[in-house]
Amino acid sequence: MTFVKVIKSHAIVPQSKIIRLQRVLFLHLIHLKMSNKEWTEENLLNGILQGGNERQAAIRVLYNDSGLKRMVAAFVSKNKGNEADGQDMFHEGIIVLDHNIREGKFRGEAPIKGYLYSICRFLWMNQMRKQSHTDSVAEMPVSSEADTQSPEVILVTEERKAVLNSLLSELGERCQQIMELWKLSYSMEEIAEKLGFSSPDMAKKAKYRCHVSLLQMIQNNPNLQQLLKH
Amino acid sequence: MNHELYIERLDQYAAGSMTDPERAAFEVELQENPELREALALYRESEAVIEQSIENNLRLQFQSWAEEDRTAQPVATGRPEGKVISLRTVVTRWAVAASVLLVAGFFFLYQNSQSLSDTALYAANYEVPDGSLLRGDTASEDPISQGAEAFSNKNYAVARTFFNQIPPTDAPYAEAQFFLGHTALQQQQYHEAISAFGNAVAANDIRITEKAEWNLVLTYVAASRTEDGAFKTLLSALAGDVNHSYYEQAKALEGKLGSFGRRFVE
Repeated sequence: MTFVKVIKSHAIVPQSKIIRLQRVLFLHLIHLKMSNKEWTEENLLNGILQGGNERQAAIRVLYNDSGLKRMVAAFVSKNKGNEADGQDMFHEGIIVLDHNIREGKFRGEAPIKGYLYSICRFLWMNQMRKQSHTDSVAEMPVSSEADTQSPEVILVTEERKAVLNSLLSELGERCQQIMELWKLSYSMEEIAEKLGFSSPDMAKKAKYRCHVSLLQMIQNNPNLQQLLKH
Repeated sequence: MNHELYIERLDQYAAGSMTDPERAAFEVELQENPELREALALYRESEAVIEQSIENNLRLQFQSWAEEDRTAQPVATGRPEGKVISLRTVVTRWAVAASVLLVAGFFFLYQNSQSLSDTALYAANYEVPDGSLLRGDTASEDPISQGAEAFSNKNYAVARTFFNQIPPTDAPYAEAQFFLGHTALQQQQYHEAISAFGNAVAANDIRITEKAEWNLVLTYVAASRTEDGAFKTLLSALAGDVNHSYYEQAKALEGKLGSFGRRFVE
């Protein structure tokens, strides 16, 4: 191993360690900035609904919740999964939570983290059911921890996902970005700034053209339409 | 179906931004107008496609955060086994190394400044378009083949006239503007090239958009307008988008433009 030797009171500090420490300090500063805001249940919910950077920050707070992550991992490992499965379920759960909040399916009636946990449980049980080719989850060993409520989760088949992804490829990267930012409640001003349009009006026109292209793509392919309905 | 007829109202309906009377009227129309019902069904499917894009990006975001967390973990190491040497020896060695590096650095900068000029960067990245963009099974079937042929024969005046006469409402407008941009670029008419590539981007033809964006970047370089805000924004967008077809090239160009050696370029 190569070290840069810095002679200061006979201390020897490896350069790689200095770089790592700098990165840690930098990330801690970012987290400190983020943590200046108190992430109450209400703030998490509003952050996701607000979209843009607030949504990103709220999702990061949930992502960083090591206690909840451990709970999900423990549930998954008790139910025939491993650590990586637990992490995947935690991530997939956040994706569903984000979607459900934006679609108004979750309005904060229950604690947000309890709701996320129940989504993760549901997703894992569903995956196990698919793997075991059984029709009932009753045969599956289930943790004794009770769900606070049943999550509303729309399960998307792999076939449907493939169709959606092929439409996205056809739509093109630029249109994907525009449509995604629009769906995440970014204003036309923000879209113009982020994607380099000369004005919000140009961004609006681009969104319009992209959306019409997408609708035409779906309409022009009856097989895709049929599959998307199921 | 003419989506243009419905899309604005569908946006408002889906976003819940209609007033109560507007929503009520819209729902009555939904009952009576089968085409509007079909338009709404297609609109819902388009939302599912966009949601898939959001999901995909969130997964990428998680991977990126996981990577950040991994690299930020301080490695627990014991005291390294290094030989302690005196401060004077270190200073002397560093001074010698610095002198050598300084001389080598100036030589390197001189050599490289030549390859970092706008002209060199443009020449290293620019590619003349071929016939692969043309529509139809054979190039001659494409409605702009006549202009493309004039372009490839370097008959730029004919090519420009031809491409300019294709209106924005025609299907090959994006291609025509793309070739017009190249034609103007060949004639060093940078202002016109920027305008044409901009039009090609705005036309939003998936076969053309990313190519036009990259050529727009190169036109700014050829025109020595790398300090323009529009150029910086566009290059930064391309270099920040891993899925863009020209991501690697944009990243490399951004690196070269920001390099220390660029300061020595006249």
